[in-house]
Amino acid sequence: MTTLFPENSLSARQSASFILAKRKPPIDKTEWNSFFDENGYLAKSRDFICVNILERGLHPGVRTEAWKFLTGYYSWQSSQDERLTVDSTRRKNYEALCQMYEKIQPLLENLHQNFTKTQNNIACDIQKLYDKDPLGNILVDKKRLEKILLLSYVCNPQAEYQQGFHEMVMLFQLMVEHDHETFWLFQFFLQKTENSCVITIGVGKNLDMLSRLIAILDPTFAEHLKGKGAGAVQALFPWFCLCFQHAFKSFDDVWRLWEAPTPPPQVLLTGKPCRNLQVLVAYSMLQMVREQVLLEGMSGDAILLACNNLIDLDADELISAACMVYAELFQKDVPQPLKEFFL
Amino acid sequence: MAETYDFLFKFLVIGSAGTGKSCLLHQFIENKFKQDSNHTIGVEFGSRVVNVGGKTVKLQIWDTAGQERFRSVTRSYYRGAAGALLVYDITSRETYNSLAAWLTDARTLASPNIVVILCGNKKDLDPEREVTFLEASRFAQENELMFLETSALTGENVEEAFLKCARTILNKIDSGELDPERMGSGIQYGDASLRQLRQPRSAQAVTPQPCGC
Repeated sequence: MTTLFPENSLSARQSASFILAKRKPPIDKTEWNSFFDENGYLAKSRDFICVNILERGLHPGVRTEAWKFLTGYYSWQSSQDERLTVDSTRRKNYEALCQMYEKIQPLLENLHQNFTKTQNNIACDIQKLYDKDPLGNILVDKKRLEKILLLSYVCNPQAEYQQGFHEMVMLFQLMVEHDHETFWLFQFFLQKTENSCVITIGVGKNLDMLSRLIAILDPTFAEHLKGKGAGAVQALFPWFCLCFQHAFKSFDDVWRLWEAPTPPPQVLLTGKPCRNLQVLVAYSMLQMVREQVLLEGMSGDAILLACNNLIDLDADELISAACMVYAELFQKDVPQPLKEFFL
Repeated sequence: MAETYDFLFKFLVIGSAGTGKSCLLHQFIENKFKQDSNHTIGVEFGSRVVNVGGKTVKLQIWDTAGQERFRSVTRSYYRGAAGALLVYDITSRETYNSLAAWLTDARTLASPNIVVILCGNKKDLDPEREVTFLEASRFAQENELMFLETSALTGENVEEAFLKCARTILNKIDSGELDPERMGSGIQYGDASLRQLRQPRSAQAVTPQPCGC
């Protein structure tokens, strides 16, 4: 097992190869429980757990609980009893929000111009949402999902509602049992990832950092993207808006990426190997089309088409590639803004 | 695998959220209504090779996000589009009211010559209609747009909308009003040999762009 510190590019490399080797299975319930003492206090360091999550991933059975720690829904310092209290408080708070919402809804409909519009957008997105598994079984309760999204829109004036949230929240809904858990996990996720997926807040910064990253690590490609391939990078905003949800073949892969480093999402949640891994992930994805782009001298539109075809990816491979990019980056002389962004 | 076609046209599908843009695209490509579809965040692509006036044309269709907050970022997709379906929902006045803004975007960002067809979608929901055919016809006339009412659900007029737009572009190429060789025209020649047969309009050598998409 490697100990991972952001400044240590060697350990990032080790993590990268560790992920690919899959020497150890994902953390299961028994192992997860062994991280805590008899009172439910953490017996291992938070770093130890996060590195393990990054390198090995979580078994679906422990995901719900682990995510509560990763997002900040539970404190890492809490005991089992405290967590029970936290859960009950969160449930009550959620119910209070629901009641408040019911009271003010008529007012919002009459006075708030954007409310009805957003309400329609949400209804429309939910209606279109593909909610079945490969066998055609219904996976989620759309009514409940709609309610959570509306509440989130009203209660979170920073993020408001953005198309795509419905798909993200669906993934939270699939992971947990109760609505209050879905609601709060999503709120904490947004907070923990510094609204990295919100187009009006974090996405622009991600794109800017992605361009800078390419300029440092791959000047030839950067040159092409400034010339003939202009506009391609800016057009990749959906990757960030959806936290790469459409790039993977399974929900498990999406969760795996999100839980990997939690400053921005779970690999976007553990904060390992660094902050803002999503930009390294995007860089790694662009590298997948790089050869073809340069060989064929692709235009911005053609690059976008090629990137749009990056689907059914494997989360382990992508996280591993992102760790390698990180390792490479920190062997270079990195300008301060980029350093601050990733450290 | 190379497809053979005479021209490739870049098309946009634009309009407010929830007007059925993706469903129109889906109906055109797959010939069926898409019941469950993901919303579009950035852009989705579809392409189909059609026969118009004796020419084979590959339509490369860019279906864009409709939500307001994505508007500024999706504008970059407009560049070099030859045609556009401008879509509103006949049961929603609000989507109709925002047409002018979408049209301005298309003409300023794609090209002033972009060929636009106005589509009043959800024709099948006539009892819930909020925008009359006459009113939309006037808007189309004032803004020099073609106009059809469509239904992505039944497929009515969907094919016609795309083909009508493609035919108009071809006519404009024939009459010389549109120059495929101009940068950002949204038109490309299908293959090199065909290109050779044509009399070059300008002395400048133009490299034909093979399309591998």
